Amino acid sequence: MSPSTRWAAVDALERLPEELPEALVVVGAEPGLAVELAELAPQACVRAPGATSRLAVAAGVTRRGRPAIALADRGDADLASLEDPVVVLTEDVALAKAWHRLRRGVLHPVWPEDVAALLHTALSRARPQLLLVGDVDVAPRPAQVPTPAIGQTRVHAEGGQGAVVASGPLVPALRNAVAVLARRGLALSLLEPVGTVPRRLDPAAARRGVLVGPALPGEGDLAAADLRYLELRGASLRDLPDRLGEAFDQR
Amino acid sequence: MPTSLLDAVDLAAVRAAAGRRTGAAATLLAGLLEGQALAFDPDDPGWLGADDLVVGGAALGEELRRALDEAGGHPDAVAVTEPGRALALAAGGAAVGARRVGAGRTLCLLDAAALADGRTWEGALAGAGLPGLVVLWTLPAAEARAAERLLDAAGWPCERVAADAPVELLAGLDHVLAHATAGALLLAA
Repeated sequence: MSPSTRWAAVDALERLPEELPEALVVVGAEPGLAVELAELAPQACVRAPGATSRLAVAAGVTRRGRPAIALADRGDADLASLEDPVVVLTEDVALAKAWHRLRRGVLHPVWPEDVAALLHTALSRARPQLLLVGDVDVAPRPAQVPTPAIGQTRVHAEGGQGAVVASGPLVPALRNAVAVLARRGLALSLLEPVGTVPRRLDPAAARRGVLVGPALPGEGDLAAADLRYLELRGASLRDLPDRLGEAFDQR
Repeated sequence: MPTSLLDAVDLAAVRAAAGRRTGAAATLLAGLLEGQALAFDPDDPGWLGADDLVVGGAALGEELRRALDEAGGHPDAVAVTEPGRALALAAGGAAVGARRVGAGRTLCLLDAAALADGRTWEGALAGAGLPGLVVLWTLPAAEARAAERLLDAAGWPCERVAADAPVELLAGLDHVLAHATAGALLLAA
């Protein structure tokens, strides 16, 4: 089995009937996570073929006191109407971006080891959560990095000359790139907001903020992410994206 | 042997209550409350066997809440949402009810606005076959046939009655509440 976050999610869902028997997973009929799960744990599944109303079905489940995960593989999920504590699990980056534009934090696990813990924590939250998983293989999680807490910013590296904000599979690569730059005398912080909308990113952690990223909502969408309060200062840092890209290639 | 609503109900009281109410759902609400088709416990808002109520549309939701309040029920237990979202919300609730021994039914009240929303079709697909899910849909006679076709195509048994005829309505409620799987009563106004 590939060590991607996608497979970690399938694994966590498969174990759900034993670990959290109350939880129900609302699935569609599209190929992908839903079909795999329906085969692995049919007793935990509620069928909702329509993508647009699937989150409403999941909301109906939570209304009657059961935790609900909605698999939103593809299609036009009705994100804006969702106020109930449903966990939306998706592989669709476009859906995650749409969620982000609603100023809701995306849970974008870096390592497969983080997925199950984040899923269970998300199920205990009072607000809807979106968990984005993917098929990108990453190296195993370093032993010294714990599973993150939702709503906090995980600091991978601390440096006073700037900050890099990233999430998902970009983080391990950027850890290496930031380490390369540190050896060359440029000390950067690497920050990973875990389900935190970026405007709530801890300004103290990003105290001399130079912004490169985040992975969500994507390049060019920084205004939407409302990260403007991070100060962009220091002429010597203007070429940081180029230097980071160069270091990225040398990892 | 199950008791028919028509055997147990005070028909004159239902007629009188329907006459006192206004709106397209007047007879339906009289049938549910004065006809005692609705299960709730005035002393226990959390009673497991109580019917779960989901309403599509604020006006209809307010009508039901008021009527339930007058009947000693618990108006806060009524979930009111957009017309197109209601059936999907009810389907999720019914999926939980189907997994819980002794759980009450899920009743979803819709009006004409739900027919124009594509999400209702998706909700019908999600709810088809679920035990204890009942749709009570009031809509103009000309549109009742379209709603019936929609639900029929999704696999729902349907019954159509006149919205302002108490006896017909109670008989229809009787039938649809007795279904082993999701069923719908269309009230042609």
